[in-house]
Amino acid sequence: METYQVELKGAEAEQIGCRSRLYSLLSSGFRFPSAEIYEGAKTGKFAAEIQAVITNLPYSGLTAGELGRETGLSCEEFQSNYIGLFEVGNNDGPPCFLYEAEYAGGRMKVMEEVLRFYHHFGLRLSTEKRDRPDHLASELEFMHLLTFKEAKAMVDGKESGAYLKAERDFLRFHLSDLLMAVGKRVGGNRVLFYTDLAHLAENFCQKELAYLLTIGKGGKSD
Amino acid sequence: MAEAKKQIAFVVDLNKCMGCHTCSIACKTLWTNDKGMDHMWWMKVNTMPGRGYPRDWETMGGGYDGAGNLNLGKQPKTEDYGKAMEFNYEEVFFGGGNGKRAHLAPRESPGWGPNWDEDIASGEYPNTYFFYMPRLCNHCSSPACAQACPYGAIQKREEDGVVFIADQEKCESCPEPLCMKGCPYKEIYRNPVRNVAQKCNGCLPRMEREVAPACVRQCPGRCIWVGFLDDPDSPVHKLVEEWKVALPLHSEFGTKPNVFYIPPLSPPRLNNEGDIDATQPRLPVEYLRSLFGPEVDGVLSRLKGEIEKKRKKEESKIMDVLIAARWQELLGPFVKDPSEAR
Amino acid sequence: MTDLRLKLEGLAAKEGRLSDTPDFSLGAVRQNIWDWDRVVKGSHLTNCWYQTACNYNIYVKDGVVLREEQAANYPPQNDPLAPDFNPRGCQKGSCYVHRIYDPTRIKYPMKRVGERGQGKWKRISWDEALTEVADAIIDTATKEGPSAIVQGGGTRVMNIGSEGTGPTAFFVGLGAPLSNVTADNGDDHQGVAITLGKVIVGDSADNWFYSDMILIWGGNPAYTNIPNHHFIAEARYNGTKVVTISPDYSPSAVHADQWVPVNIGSDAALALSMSQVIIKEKLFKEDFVREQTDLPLLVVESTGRFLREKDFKAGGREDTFYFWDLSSGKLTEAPRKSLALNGTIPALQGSYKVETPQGSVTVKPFMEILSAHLDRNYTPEQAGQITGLSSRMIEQLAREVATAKGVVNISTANWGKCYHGDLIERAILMVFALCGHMGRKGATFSAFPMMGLDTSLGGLEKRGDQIILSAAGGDPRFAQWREEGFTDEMILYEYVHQAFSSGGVTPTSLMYYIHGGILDLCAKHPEWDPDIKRPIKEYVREAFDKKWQFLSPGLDKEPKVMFALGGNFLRRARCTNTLIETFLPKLRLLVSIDWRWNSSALYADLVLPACSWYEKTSTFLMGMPVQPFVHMVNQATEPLYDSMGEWKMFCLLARKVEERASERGIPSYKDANGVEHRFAGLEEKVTFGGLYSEDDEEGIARDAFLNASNVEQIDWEEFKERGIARYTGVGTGMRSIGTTCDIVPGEPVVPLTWHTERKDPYPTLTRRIQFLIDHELFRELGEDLPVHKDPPPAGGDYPLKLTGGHARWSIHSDQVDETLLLQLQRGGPLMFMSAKDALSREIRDGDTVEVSNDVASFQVQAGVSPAVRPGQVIIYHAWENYQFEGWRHFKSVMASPMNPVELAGDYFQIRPITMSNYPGFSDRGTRVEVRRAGA
Repeated sequence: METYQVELKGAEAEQIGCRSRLYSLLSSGFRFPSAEIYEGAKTGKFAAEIQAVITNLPYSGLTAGELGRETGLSCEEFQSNYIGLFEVGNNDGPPCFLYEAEYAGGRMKVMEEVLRFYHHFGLRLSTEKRDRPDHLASELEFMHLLTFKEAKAMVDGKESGAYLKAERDFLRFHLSDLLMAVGKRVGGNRVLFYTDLAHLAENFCQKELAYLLTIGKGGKSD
Repeated sequence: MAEAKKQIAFVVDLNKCMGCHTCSIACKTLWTNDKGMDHMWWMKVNTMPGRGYPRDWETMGGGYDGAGNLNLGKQPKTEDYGKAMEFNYEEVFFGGGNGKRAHLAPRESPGWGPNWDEDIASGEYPNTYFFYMPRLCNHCSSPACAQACPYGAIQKREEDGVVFIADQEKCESCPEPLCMKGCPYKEIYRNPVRNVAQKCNGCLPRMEREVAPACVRQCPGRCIWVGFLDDPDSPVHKLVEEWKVALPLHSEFGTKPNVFYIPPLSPPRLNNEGDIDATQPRLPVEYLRSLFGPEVDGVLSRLKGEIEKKRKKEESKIMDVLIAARWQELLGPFVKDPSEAR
Repeated sequence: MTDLRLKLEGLAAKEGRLSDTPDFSLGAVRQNIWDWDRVVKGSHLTNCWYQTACNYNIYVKDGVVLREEQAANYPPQNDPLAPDFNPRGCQKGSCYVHRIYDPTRIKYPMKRVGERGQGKWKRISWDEALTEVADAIIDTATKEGPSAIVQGGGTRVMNIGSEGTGPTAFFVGLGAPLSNVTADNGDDHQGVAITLGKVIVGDSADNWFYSDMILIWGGNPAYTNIPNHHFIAEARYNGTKVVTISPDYSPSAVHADQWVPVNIGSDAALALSMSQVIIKEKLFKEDFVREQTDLPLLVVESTGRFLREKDFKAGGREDTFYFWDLSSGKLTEAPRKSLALNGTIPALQGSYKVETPQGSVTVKPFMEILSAHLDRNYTPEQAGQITGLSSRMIEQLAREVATAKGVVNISTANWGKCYHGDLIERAILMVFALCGHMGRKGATFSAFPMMGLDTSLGGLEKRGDQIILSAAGGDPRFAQWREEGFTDEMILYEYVHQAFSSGGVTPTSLMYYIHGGILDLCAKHPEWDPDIKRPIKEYVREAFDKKWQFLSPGLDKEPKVMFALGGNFLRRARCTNTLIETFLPKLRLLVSIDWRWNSSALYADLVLPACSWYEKTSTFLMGMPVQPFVHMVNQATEPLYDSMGEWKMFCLLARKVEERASERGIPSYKDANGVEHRFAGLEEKVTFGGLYSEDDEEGIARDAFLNASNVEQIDWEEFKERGIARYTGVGTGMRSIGTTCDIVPGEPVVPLTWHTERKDPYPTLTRRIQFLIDHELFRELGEDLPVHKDPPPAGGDYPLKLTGGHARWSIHSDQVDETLLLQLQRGGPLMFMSAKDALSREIRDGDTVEVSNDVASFQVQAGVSPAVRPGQVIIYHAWENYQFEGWRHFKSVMASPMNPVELAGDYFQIRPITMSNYPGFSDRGTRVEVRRAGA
């Protein structure tokens, strides 16, 4: 697939760019940790990257905090913590699944709707991953794409209303619910990196939703 | 409200329904499997006599009085539906090291559900009785839900008589769902997430493509017919209008329902010696009358008579229609395969 | 100014290109349900037996399965008045897609890191997992031999679809035993096996439409025949009388024309009493009885055994029998190669003298002895006492059954679960045989319906005609068999029996009895069967000494590696907790292979994720005469997560075994017979010499269909398109030859016509439907003549009898923890009890109750219903262990004492073969007490 990029001209575009980058960073953070993510977490690079984009958001009150405090862990331990926390459970209790539908009474429709959101914007699931559409990382990645397109539309002088509407509706009916549920489950003294990351993501998305509703560019809900 | 030019109708054969709930699942997976819809079972099968779903709906009121005035009944409460069942799968499979062996169960005790009194009979052994009754929106000719809605958000389609929520916006801004109080069958639900009323839409998107409603088409018991009441060739018309062997449920509610039931036969009672007691039916007549009106006596004897004809190898048109040798006969004009009707 | 780059990982642009999307409306997205990429035909690779299978359309969008709906494309039957088979399906199949994406799905290979059953897991790679399994296999094959590598097999993968080919080929290649689980399920039909010499006998559902009476006896089709149930309702509207015989007013009694409320386990008495009436009132069909049954065969009065050739001369045959021919007035040898009587008229009454070297002996037709036995013990008045029925009802029923033109039975998998289920089946069969309700349209007896694909696949799967052909060429016994009039059916059964006696197939129920502590428990409680003459272990020892029974790895050798595969043995077996405590510690490695977490997986050492039923291509090897169509599954989507199909899994495992053996320098191992096997070449054996690659699951499914002899000839692509094809015959294979009839597409399947019309002998010792079993063990236990015996107090002296049945809501445990389906129940296990018993125990509907006996206890919610017979409690099966508080499974109380009569062997039709003639589990009538929990 070709690479897509957009030159962020102007402060407003920069702001959209930062929102988009944060979605992307959070998405990477919630995928199974590669050595790169581990290094980033350990060296503070990951936290710094997040901090850098946070400062340029259209709203305040977010902080990368102490993301990456588990510097004492080896990469393997870090990965095993991820599996324990999100897939198979650990000493603190059962896992906190990262799939939206697992927290929603109506499973299939939730998954189906997420899929149709993706489809509407020209996306399908990656065939390498063989995963469900409603994984937190993919939902965050989708927001990354929408905000990317929003930025590109703005730079290209095109109408961005469809993206804003979709961002708002996707957050409101999907991502927020998932992050709220995950936030509750990872609470307590579990794997600190992920507790912080989940809370950051939850706060971010709440602010995003409030922001999108305030600017009202999405128009009335359906 | 405008009269429908054509009226869609359903006939449900209670002598064929085995309580398998394929209709419930067909409907659930197609329409009500979303957030805020846990308690919605636009189609469900209840063991009768029973408290049903929502619990005790038959006593909640609604519909019209004898003079045709709208009665507002009760609105079902959360506990009448039961709490949504969420399960603790992760605790069971991945108990982890906390030493607890959790067992799979709803996180909160549900208290009630769409099929809570499944197979719970009435009467006294061995003269005990029950039967299964599928229930869906009656798409009434005088829909009390629509009558009750102060905003006119619920309408009856002229072209087929389907009762549907026509105006989502008006519905969303409603402070008090009078529709739920108006409907005596409690077949309209409130979605707390989207803050709207939702109900059986007659599988309109399917019917528009000439595909039968999911509950009808997916019923393995072949017990539901769909068709236009006014079409003289339709089995629905024959069973309801011509032979009058299909009866509406609680017609005294006054809404002129368009779902009709072939009333249930039952095996004979036993007397104290354990011999067949043919003097009275196992299913109490008074109970059946309370559901289907006094006409039920005549219908049951008619059905028995027609079966007797078949036993004697005589012709019975009614039985031939009820047997429906070819499954498509149940589907009325909606015979298309959904996979080919995009 | 900076650049923003789009970074996609989990998502990808369609066709590799992203374009602008100018509009978006949530409403439009939500209403867009009529949008999918493709629709494929598929079904559910579970074993729902009578209901198997249903053709579904599977709707796929962007690699995600959205929903399924019945295809409903079954062609009509030839008779325009007969109902067709559409739409089939049930509530479980109509939401299987939910299971694919639900939290019970196993996502990755998992390794246990805590105690067994503790729930501490580590995610591992496929390579690590296969290495662990391969090493355990190598260790066990070399230390204990391949027979210690066993399957806690299930009813699913091994029998149902072509995906079971991988594991089967692997076990065969390794020289490890295949498992036979029928009696461990309790799905066995021991009484039918004894009487007809086979268990696979079944009709089609449209056959019911032509009957005058349907006897629902030993089944609950409202739960277990969902796609077929309409045929009952339609038959009733067509004038057929529906009679349901059951202790409770069951969901299948609701639509009956008569309900016959029998005491639990008293059905044999009812049937014997009906037989008594039928014989006494001369309502039986003489011609049928004379020709088809053993009732005219002469029995020596003094011994109670059949008169045999060896009674006349030393070295005479054990299996030559006689009747008294009324036309010639002479003792006549009963024909063995055919049932045709050729003008002879066997006597059914009287007493005759025959001269033997020992002198003159009195012989009587068995009918004479039987009728005296019935008159003595089973008059309607006597049976009324046992059954709780009025004698008048028994008489009326007997007369109605006898005078009906045709009667069919609907009897599902119930009798095998009764301790004396064999006696019940023998008695019911007697009613059908006396009345000649067999082998005619609308007049049939069905037992274990199965319609197998008679096909060949590489070296593994062979058609029956190929087996016969190679026997003709290479088996020295063949000429003798033919000389003695063996039918193909009999010859095939010889090979099946041989698979048991050689250790190639092992009965898992016997394995759990012996190695799982259940036999020990049973030995400790002789009071559970007061009728038993000797200690149970003595019977077991005798059965093995006399080579009546076989077990691999053996009586004194423990299994070491267990594959829980295609089933869920720790949920299924009775005496669950005894088994968990006794059997599991013996295992070096317990591997669970499934698409979902289940009870067996939770106790396993390794859990391997199989893909779901919509994620692989498979042809159903096992079908049903009930609906005579072969089904298939098209792969609808890629296997989710890290899952893979069983075929690929076992190809990779074979490769890994070879690789590890080579790395560890272990070239070979010896089997129980001392034969040396090499690890090298295992993969080649599994793939039939590379005929199918590990990714060619479809090739297997394709060839299974194309090579089949008994389905309509259409090409593979057309079959995939339709999803179904008609069966054209029972074929020549073990999977369905027992039904012994021709199949005319579009006509009902009427079993046993090869016997009733073509006069083929039955595969029994007497070559007839056989009611007198003069085997020494049967004689010792007083079961040589058909009798009724009360169900023993299994589990101890408690007032309530626990019964059950297959569930409405789940096929085995496949859907038992499905969220949507649980919402249509009470969210978990429920036990029905009678209003009377609840009242006396101060139990109200919805209360949690404690159920206990001498073996175990558990808690469950009570459903109080007057439909339940006082003294009865009912739990429909398949709840998982983990759906009970403390994982105290309800099957733990099921003592399941071994019935020694099931150990019998070496009596032509009474030898272990697939699905019968070895000890099985029983649970109906287990004694329990119930009290309010915490009270």
